[in-house]
Amino acid sequence: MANQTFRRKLVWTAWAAFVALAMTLSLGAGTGVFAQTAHTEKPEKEKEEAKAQAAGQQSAVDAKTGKLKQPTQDETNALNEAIKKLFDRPTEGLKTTYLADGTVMVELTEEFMEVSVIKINPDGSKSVECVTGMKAAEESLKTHGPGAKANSAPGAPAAGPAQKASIPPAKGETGKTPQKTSQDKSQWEVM
Amino acid sequence: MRKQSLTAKFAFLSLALIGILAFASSEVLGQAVITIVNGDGPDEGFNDPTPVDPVGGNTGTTLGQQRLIAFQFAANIWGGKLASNVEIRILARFNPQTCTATSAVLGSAGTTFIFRDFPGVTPFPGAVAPSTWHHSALADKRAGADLNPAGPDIQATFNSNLNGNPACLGGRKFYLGLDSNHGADVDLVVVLLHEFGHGLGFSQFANVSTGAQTQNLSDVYGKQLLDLSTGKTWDQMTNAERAASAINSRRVVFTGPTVAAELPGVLSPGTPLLRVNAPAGLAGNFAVGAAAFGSPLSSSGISGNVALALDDADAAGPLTTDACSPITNAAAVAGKIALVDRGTCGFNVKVKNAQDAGAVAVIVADNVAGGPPAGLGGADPTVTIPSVRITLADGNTIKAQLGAGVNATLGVDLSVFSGADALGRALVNAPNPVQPGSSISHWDPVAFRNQLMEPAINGDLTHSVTSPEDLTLALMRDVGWFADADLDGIADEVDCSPNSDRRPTVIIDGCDTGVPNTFFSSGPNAGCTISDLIRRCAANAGNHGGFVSCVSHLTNELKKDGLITGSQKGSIMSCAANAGLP
Repeated sequence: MANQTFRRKLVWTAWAAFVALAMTLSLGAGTGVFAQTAHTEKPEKEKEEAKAQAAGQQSAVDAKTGKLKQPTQDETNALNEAIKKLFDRPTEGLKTTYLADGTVMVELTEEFMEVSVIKINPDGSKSVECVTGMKAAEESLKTHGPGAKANSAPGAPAAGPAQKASIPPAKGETGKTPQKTSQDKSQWEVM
Repeated sequence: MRKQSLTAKFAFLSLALIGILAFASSEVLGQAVITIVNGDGPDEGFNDPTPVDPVGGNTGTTLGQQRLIAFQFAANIWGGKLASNVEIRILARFNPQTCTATSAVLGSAGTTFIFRDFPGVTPFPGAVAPSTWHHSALADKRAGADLNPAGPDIQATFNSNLNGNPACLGGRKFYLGLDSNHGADVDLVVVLLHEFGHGLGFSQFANVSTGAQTQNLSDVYGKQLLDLSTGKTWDQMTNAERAASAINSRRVVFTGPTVAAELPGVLSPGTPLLRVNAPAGLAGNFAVGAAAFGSPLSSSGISGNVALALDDADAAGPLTTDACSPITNAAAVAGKIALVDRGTCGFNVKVKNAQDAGAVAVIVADNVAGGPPAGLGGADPTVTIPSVRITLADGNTIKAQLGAGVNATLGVDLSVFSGADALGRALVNAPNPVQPGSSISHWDPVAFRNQLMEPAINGDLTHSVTSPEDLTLALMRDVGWFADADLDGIADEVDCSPNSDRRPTVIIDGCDTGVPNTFFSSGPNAGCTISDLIRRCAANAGNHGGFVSCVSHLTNELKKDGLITGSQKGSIMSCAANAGLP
C-alpha cells in the first residue's frame, strides 16, 4: 500500500513537473510554447496539432504569431526531459522481500515491462519496436506518430530503430556483405 | 597406480545423495518446461470462443485456442534451448489495448521478480555473483529451486484488439500461424520470442536516463556491458557515468565470451566507416550512416582530401554549407571528398550538387547533436558517387582541422562485423538521446543479419534464437543460463557426464543391482553417478576382462569410502561379470 502511494506520488510529482515546465515555457522567453498551451484559435490549432502529430512531428506554437513552428532544440530537449521524468522506471521504493537464507526478492512494476509497439509507415510497411513501460509505449505512439521519422523535423536527431545502416554489396565483394532492404530504406530520413 | 588415483579422486568428493527423483521434475531431458498460465476470464483472450480456421500449422479451432497454441509454441522454442529443473511460469493475458488505424501496442512482457544473493542447493551454483540482480527464471535455474512458488516468473499481456478489426491497423492482425508466413500481419511468435527473451535474461534493470540502479546494485546483464570510452563495465560506474554510457553510441559492447565466440558465425563482415588518415591528431575511425543512393561503399574505399563545399545562401537553403544550391567553390571541391551540412533540402540533392562540382564522395555532417549517425535516405539514379552521414560532433571536429589538411577514406571495413566493435564484441544499442526501453537492453540496430533482440523487430526474422541465425541464446549463456542437458545443476562443460544415467539404482546392461545410484555433486567426478562411472569403464576397456577389472577397482574405492557395502559391491560385480560389455 505504501509502495502504491509512493508510486502515485512519484507519477504525480513528475506530472506536476511536466505541467510546470510547459507553463514556464509558455510564459518564458516569449519565443514559443507547446501546442497544448495555446489559447487562441484553439479549434484550428488543435487541427494543426493533430496533423503535425499524425506526421510524427513534435510541434510548438509561436507565442507571437500563434502559428505552428518546429520546436527549437531547447524546447525539444525540455519536452524530452519532462517525458523522461514521467516514464522513468523507479529504482527505489519497490516491494522488497528479505528471506532468512539471505535471498532478496524485488517485485518489479510495469515500468520494467518491455512493450512492443507497431507503427504503419506511409508506404504501408510496418515498423515494430520495443520500448519499456506501457506509459512510454503510449507516449511513443503519440509523439512519434505513425511510421514517422523520429523527431522528424529536418535537422532533428535520428533515433530509434530507423537507423539500419546496412550496406549493399560492393562490386567484386562477397555476397556476405549486408544487403539493403526496402524496409530499411523506408525508415531512413531523406533530409 | 589406478587405485591411488581413484582414491585421490574420491578423497575430494563431497557426495550428495541427491535422490534421483530430484531430477525428475522436468518432463523432457535437458529442457526447461515453460508453462503458459492462462490469466484470462471466460470468453475473452485465450478463452475467446470465436471459431477460426487452422493457420500455418496452428490447429486451434477457436481464436482463444490459437492464441494459446502460439504462446506455447514460442515458449517451447525457448524451453527447448534453456535448461532448468524448475518450471518457468508465464502469466499471460490478452486484453484490449491501444490500437488506431496506424499504430498500436502489441503487447508487453518482462520478469515479474528479480532476486539476489540466493544460495544454491548443491550442486546448483546459486547466484552468478553477490549483490547482483537476476531475472526470476534465471535465479530459479541457478538456485535449483523455485524461489517464489506463489508468483509467476514472467508476465505477458498482449492486445486483443488486433483481430482483423478494420479500425485497428487497417485490419492487420496477429498472425497466429507457426510457420513465419505472416505476410502483412504481425508474426505473434516472433514478438513473443523477443519479449520472452527480455523476461528470461536479455535486459538490465538500471534507469538509463539517470544511471541509477535498482537499490543501487547491478545485474547479470549490466556486469557485461563495457563502455569503450571509460573502459568500465556498468557495475563499476557511477550513476552519472552509466547515464553517459547509455548514450555513448557505438561505444558500448557486451563482453560475454559466448556471444563473442559465436558472433563471427552470425553477423556479416563489413562495417561502413570514415577513416581519417591525416592529420595525425585526427587520425582514426568515425561512425557513419550509409546512403540508400549513389554507389555503395567498397572495402578498398575511396580516399581523398576533404573540402568544405560552399553554395549560395538562398531560398533553397539558408546556409552556405548546406549544398542545397549549385556549389560555388567547385575548383576546391573537384577531385575531393566534399563536406556539407545537413538541413533544408534532401540528402540526394546535396550529394548531386557536390557530384556536379566534381566531388568524388560526400560527407554529410548532421546539424543537431545525436547519434549514432543514421543512414541517408532518398533516391536519385543520377548520383553515382558514395556518400555517408556523420554526427554533428564529428563534423565539427573535422571542420576544425580542415585548415591543417584532412585526408580521409570512405569505405567498408570487412574486418569488422556489422554490429560489432573492432575486437568482435557485440554493440549494444546506445542512441543519443536516450530511449528508455530501447537503450542498452537491445543489440545495436546496425547488426546484420538482423537479430531478434534489436529494438526493431524486423520482418525477416526467423523463429531461431541460436547461431548461425541469432545471438540471443549465446547471451543467455553469458548471463548465467549455463547448458545443463541432464539438469543436474552442473554445467555441461564441467560435467563429468553431461547426459547422466539418472535411474534410481545402478543398472548394468539391463541387470538391476538394486544399489542406489549415488550422484557426485563436486570434485573431479562432479556430475557423474555410479552408473556413469561404470559406463566409463565400459567405454575405456579393451575387452570384457578389462571392464570387470575396472568395475572392481571402482567398487573397491566406493566401499572404502563408505558409499556402498560389501554386499552391494557383490551385487554390482555380479551384474558386471554377466554383462555383455564392452
